[in-house]
Amino acid sequence: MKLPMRGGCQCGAIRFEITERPLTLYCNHSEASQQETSSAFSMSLLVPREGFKFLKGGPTAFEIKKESTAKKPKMGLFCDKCGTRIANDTQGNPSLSVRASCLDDRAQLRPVGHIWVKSAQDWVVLHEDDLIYEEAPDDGYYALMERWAAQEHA
Amino acid sequence: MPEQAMPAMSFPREGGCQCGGVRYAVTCEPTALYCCHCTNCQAQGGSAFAMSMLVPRDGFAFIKGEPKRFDFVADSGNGKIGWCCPDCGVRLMHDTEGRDSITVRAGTLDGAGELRPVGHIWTRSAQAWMKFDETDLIYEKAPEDGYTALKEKWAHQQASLAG
Repeated sequence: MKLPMRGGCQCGAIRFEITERPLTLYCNHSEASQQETSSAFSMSLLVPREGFKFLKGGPTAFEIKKESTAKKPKMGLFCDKCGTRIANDTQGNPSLSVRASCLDDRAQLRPVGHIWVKSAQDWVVLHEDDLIYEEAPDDGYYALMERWAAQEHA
Repeated sequence: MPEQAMPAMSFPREGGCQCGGVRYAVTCEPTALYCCHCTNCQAQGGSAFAMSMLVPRDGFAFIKGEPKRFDFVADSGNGKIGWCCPDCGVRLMHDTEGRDSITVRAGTLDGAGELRPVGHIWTRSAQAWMKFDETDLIYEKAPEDGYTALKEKWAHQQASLAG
């Protein structure tokens, strides 16, 4: 994916720019992601914090209640006019989870794996060679980042 | 999992947003469930497509909170009204003026894991990596038959899963 990448919300009030290489792209099939996107999964693009900035408008933040035992607060950032979720921000993490479908150029998106597939909707067809995790990866997302890097350099 | 092993989705059923501020109830049988791959649904949803459940207008009601209205023009050119939670932004329902049904954003239903769409619309803008079940109904743009085929397939699926 070529830098910089730009994107925004549905109504155009919020625009953002990505200036550093994303670390990975995966689909999250957790129940929270289904609810958040009103769909079957979310598409998460992990972007280094210093490589992401808002160009126009500012998001509204709310704290996402966690079902898990994770201790760090996680904020959802969305447009207060159209509701579009732009990113989820777990405080203290070096990267943001940007909602990849907010990017202007979605044709180049190709996720390398799927997490929380134990709650995935039955009908979703996964690629056999994708990385598949029943829950969250327990390797710090290392394999997903490695696969992404290999795909980007292919 | 084979289709026979999965029960039909039962109604009435409630749903709501991520923060719990807005809740709704679907009180009658939906008439279809499909995935929409249009550019608006991708931009708004944070995913590769939206899941749209057609529900007769009288069979849907907000039961908690005050949803916020957002007006937009769909890829089809139709004027649509989106309703979302003011506190977490989650889109819950779309209302196209003049239609007898509204579309529930189905991922917000309680027990969304049981959803089984019967088709895909606006696949001309679908993300390249998406794979479709061969038996699903596939439309390059919006269906031109008033969604009749999607409704028939959904009714058949609900009947066969219930049986």
